[in-house]
Amino acid sequence: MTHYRVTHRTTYRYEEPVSASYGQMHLLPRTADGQTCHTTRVAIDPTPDDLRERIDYFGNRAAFYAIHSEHTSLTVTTTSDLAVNRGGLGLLDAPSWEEVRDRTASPAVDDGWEPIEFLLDSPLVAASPGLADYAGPSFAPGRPVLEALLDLAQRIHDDFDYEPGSTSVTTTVDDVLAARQGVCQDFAHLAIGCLRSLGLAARYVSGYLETTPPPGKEHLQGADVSHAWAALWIPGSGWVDVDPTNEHFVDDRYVTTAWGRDYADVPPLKGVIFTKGLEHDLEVVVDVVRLDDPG
Amino acid sequence: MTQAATGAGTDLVAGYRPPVAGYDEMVDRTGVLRPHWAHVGHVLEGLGVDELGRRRTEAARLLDDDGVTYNVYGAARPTSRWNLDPVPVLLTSAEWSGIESAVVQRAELLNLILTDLYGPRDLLRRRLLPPELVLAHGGFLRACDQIRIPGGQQLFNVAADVARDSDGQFWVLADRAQTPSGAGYALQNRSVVSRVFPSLHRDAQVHRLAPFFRALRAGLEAVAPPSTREPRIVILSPGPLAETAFEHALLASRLGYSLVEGSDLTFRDGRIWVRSLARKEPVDVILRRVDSAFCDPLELRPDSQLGVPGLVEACRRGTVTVVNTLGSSVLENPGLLPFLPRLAQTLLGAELEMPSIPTWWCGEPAGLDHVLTNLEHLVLKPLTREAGAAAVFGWTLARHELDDVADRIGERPSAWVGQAQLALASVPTLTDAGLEARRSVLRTFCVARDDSYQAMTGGLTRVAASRQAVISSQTGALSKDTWVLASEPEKMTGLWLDSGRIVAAVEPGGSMSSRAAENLFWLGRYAERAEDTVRLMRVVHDRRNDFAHDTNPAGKACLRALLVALTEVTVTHPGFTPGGPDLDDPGPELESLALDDKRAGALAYSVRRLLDAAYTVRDQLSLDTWLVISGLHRELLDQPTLGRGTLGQVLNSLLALAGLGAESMVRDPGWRFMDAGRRIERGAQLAALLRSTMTTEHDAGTESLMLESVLTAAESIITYRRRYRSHAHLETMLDLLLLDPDNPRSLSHQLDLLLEDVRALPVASGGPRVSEAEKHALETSTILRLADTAVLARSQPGAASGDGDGGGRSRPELARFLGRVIDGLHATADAIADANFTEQLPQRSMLTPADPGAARASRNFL
Repeated sequence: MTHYRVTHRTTYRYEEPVSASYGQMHLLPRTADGQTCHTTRVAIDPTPDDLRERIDYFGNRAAFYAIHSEHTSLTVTTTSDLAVNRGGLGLLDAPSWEEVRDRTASPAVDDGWEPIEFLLDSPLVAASPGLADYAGPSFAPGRPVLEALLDLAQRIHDDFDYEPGSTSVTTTVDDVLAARQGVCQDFAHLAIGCLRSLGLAARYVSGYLETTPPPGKEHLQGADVSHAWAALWIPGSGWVDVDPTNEHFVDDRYVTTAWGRDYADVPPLKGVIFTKGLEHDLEVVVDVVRLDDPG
Repeated sequence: MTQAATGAGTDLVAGYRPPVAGYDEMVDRTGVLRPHWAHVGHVLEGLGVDELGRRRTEAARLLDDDGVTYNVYGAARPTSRWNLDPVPVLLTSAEWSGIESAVVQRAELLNLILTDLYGPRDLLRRRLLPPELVLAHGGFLRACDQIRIPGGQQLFNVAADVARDSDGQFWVLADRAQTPSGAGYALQNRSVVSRVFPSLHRDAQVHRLAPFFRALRAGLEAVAPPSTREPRIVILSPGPLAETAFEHALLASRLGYSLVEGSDLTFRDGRIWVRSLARKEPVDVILRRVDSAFCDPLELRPDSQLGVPGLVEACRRGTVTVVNTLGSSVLENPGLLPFLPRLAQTLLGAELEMPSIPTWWCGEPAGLDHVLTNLEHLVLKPLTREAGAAAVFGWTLARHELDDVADRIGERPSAWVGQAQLALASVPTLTDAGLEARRSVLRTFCVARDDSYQAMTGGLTRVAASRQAVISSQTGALSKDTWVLASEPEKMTGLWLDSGRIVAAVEPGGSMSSRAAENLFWLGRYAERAEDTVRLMRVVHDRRNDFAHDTNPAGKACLRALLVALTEVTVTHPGFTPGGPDLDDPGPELESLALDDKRAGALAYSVRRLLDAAYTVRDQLSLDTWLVISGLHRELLDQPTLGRGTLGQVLNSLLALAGLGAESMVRDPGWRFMDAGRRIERGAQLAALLRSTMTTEHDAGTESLMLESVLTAAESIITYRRRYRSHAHLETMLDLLLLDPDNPRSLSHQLDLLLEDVRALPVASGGPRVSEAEKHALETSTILRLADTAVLARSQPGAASGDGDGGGRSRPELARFLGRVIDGLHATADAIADANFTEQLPQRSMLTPADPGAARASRNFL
């Protein structure tokens, strides 16, 4: 069991005064398998006229806010205390990826209908022959699905450059495949697109990665920022999270905030504002601090 | 009956030839009139083709007069006339009760599906619907999950397109659940057809449409949030350019609700408000005519400028009810059709009363197989109706095109359906040659009532534009009134009777949006600007006729000065001022000033703006207004060249508009805004004309002609001649045009009325005793009261402006005075705008990336 305090501060500075601001955040970590969120505090400056939390379609915690006073900057800070205990992965040798594919294609009623959602195209990630081709070498006939998944994550890590600023929030997965560079959300989309193109159900997970490298371990890319990765549905056992940006399975160094079909379902913050300005500056500061067991 | 028809001497009915193999509504296979058509058929025959043609022209005129339009996307002209064939379609009571029962049952079934899909989703869990059929449909809006509206039905209103096949059997072709349109057009068709065929309509004993609209009103009140006592209901429209904008305004004015656009609404304190004059008014129920995805840029499409950020959240909290429920277009999915029989069994415990058009969903192997092997016989449709993904008709495609379609379907089979093509029944349709058999579809309408639905008795029949064409209002289909014949006469009822309790009157101005007020203000200003421009143009044209080929130097000088004045008053420089075109050939520039509707200051531009403003507030204007509007279109905007009578006709229409404003509008705040706009504009135009023509002194001959011209342009020449009976004299002219409070064209009269208007405008409580607008109007009025026309008329050496050619004498006092008046009027206009018209800053969307590293590339808003 690992205890964390995650602080996430997003600041927008606007070119011109903003008369009203409406927003929705996916910044409140959900409680999920292997993770319990004890408390979350939300602070917004200027003080919002309206703030309400709810559970969204995917079971994530979402919050709505509205600000009616004129302002030129907006700061949203969330502070969450959580405990993470994901446990290990026990099925590296079985089943084969084709078995998973076939069971996903016609899921038993017991599996629920929900995984089908993650097999279909979504706003930013559509299956394509190009993605299936790229995934092919990892998914040799009969290969155990988790071995294949890890291999795909490693190849994405090797073949693509981590290049902040090379993509935007509306970049599609085909753009990323062509450009061979991107950031964590692009690599997550790429992995999801590869899996869906093979007939596997995959979802997008947003969250955090612990910042301090443990002694003797190399520094992880994507540290000090909010993070994103992919998860694969394995009928009968559940979701397996993998981080293509850092080429390994997700463990207790990761904190999950929310999941959806792709980034568009769970952006950390999205909003509508009224202003004459055309530009803004954005600054995001994230701290993931390991706490002593609070008992 | 056929004998009687032949006896009438024409072959209208006897010569009617429906396709041999098909079903025709009017005649049976042997060509004999069906019994319920006997009376109508006889009357049509008696009227004959020429008279029917006249009735059709009459119907078109009535539609024009009411301003009935259907906007076609991408058309050069923003509006086109609604097409109505006045010959009605008849249904017997027995036929109708079968249709009615089936469409009500269908509405109940669709309601249960909608309720489940945004609720427990048992249909997916139990695989009664394939999950991907719903999940991959563009109408399934995850943000709208779990929103519930009060009452038993989540589906408030729905339309079904039904048609007969060649055996006379009825089928449902499609369901419209997004924002079902057409009920208002059906009402309008009825109103026109009953005027074109008054006795026929009376004698035929036609079921009335009013009960449906009463049910609509009652239904809207019933879905209000539970804590509401007298619900405030608005109709949300995308605006005057929407396809069915006419219908939005018609419903608003007939039902007595405010017509609003997204920017008129705002989320605050957890609920939705109208930005009304002086204060905000809460909204309880929104009848939406904006597609769901465009209703909230925060949670739905971020690029939408038609929505209200926070609307989804307000719906979630239940503080406002939007109907149809956001996300209802998930039902507009042709892939659902094959599953409806089973769902009817499971959910209603009954057989589907009317079958849907045979449809195969390609997401199932059997469906895919059937579609791929029958491509050339099927209509191939994507599941989601979106631009760029139109249905294709297999039988119109060449072999290689069919292969392309097969490939597209093969890539994503679950996104496609194939549908059978029905041989649709025909109805008699009036053409120049007589009655022609054309295929038709009937749109039926249902609205939630108690725990079921009420159908409109009848509906909107649409007929193919030609023998072959597909039926679509976008491609010019005709519409028809649909008569369900009562077995006995029905009590006459209006929309208003039996509505129960008396409700408190809406406070004037309270429910008027600030946008509506702004448009009325500009309606007044542009109407007056157009009127003043056309008067000045007429004077210029008259002077051209008098002096263009004359050698009289005074006449030539006067004409030149008036041309310059036309440029200066309309602010269309350089025009006739130095640097502009040749003054000796003013024809092209004058034509441009009259007809160029893209050129600010031109007459057509003002008229275009005036019409735009009128369309935006059409629910506020009297019905007769559309007589004038259609006239202005015909007389000016549709004219390729400036005809001899054009200016006179346009002036006529503008005078009629002014008359309607004076005689047919309640003196509510809306009227005050319109009138204030008119007064400000008339005052400013007059002052600008005087400044351009009179602040430089001309020789006596020219001056005299100029005075006469200005008095004519200011519509005061008759009074002047009667009163002063002498040669024109500047000082007396200024008395009449500036100071005489009894001259309705004088500046002083405009300021008196303007002061009345601004004092009557709504004020925010706690505001100052004298508003900014009143302050500016009072100041301007005082300047005027203190003016001494003898001083103003004085001239002194030195040109008023650098280009003076009038012998070097100018009237600086007059120039300064007029400048102050113009500034004062403009300041009043600005103050009215600042206090009443909420200036909305541009709406922008922002999105934080998961990895802010990407943010550096996206400093701009989306």
